[in-house]
Amino acid sequence: MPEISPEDLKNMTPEQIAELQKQNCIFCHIISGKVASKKIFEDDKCIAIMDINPANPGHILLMPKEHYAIMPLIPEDIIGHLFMVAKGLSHASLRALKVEGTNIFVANGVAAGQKAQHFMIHVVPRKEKDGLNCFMLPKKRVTDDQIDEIRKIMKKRINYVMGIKDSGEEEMPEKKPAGKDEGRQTDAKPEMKKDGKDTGIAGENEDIRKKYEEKEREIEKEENGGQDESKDSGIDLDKITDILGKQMGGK
Amino acid sequence: MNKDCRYCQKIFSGKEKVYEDEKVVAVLSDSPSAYGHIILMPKEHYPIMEQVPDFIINHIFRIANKISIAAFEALHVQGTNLLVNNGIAAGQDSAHFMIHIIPRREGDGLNLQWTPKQLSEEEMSTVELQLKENAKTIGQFQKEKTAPIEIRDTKEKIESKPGEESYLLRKVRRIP
Repeated sequence: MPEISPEDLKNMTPEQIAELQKQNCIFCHIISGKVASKKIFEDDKCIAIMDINPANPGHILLMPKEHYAIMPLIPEDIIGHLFMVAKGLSHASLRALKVEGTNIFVANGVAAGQKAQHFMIHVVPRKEKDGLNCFMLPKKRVTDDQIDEIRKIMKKRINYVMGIKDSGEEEMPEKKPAGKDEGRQTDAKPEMKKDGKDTGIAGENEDIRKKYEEKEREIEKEENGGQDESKDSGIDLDKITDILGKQMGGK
Repeated sequence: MNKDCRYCQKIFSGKEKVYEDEKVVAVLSDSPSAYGHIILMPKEHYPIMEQVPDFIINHIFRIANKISIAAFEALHVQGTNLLVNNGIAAGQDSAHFMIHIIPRREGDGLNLQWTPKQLSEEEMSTVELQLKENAKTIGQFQKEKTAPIEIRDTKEKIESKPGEESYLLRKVRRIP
């Protein structure tokens, strides 16, 4: 493989960079058949192989054939397909290996423990007392206030990502299958138009400005903290079930 | 809804919800492993993944991806983990199928890494053959996938494979 300087990288088109990533990705070589592997399953979109460094016997790696580094970059339909196959593989493990459970694990980013540059789903067969403790999630104590604080931040952002308007009627994401980043930005555009600000700048600049303002508005909203929480109608019900829960013995 | 299920009650009560649509609900974990730990689950009560219909799996993981994106953006984290603990042996602690979405930061003290086990070539080949044999049927869901996503009678689907499901249900009974 020829050495590539940072200068070269700057001059490359996104397509060229993607091609380079593929050339350097061992899993892309496995998919193309240049590198040998123990294949469990394959279709037109994905491939499942045995992990050569398994957490447990029967540890499977399921990958899209196309090279994607992390999950946010993968088109929605591929994600849906991959996890339906993952379910099938989990079921196959239960039947084939007589195990008592499986872990389905995804690491997005180095901080999450991702080691390969190719997105993959781990399907790990589990038996009781198999000595694998890494998937036992530690439980930290948090206050209701802390939960509420994160809930507000996350709810706003999730609505934004899904293209759901914060106030008024909540639309189901199914109706607007926004695929990638571009998708959700266009989803949010109608909101911008309502602002009725000056429309002097035309063309591309207009788009950039709109996107920028949109971001700003998002940040503003986050800082204001939950003014448009229109969940009042649910509160009584919450209280009732809470009280009920306490009377029933805390569960 | 399963009256004994703590998570069915959460779905019903509306407390801590961060996302909801006709099929799934996401709540914040009340005993999080990391800041912003979210639990995403189908509204319908399914103890394990194998019982969840394909079209719900298809939908719920798309939503999981979006929640993960939202976590990246809103919490400024450097990574996310998705984890399904499927069965008691896998660390499942409630009888409601769920996906954990865990935002990750460098040096957050959370370790989800395993030590690789050394298997002989023979062991690997045996396992490979067994898995391959059982993975042959996976393509069948493809019909499911191309069908329009709509709410169907899921119970009917489970009963359609009586042999397998009874085996699964046996396992499920062991979940507290």
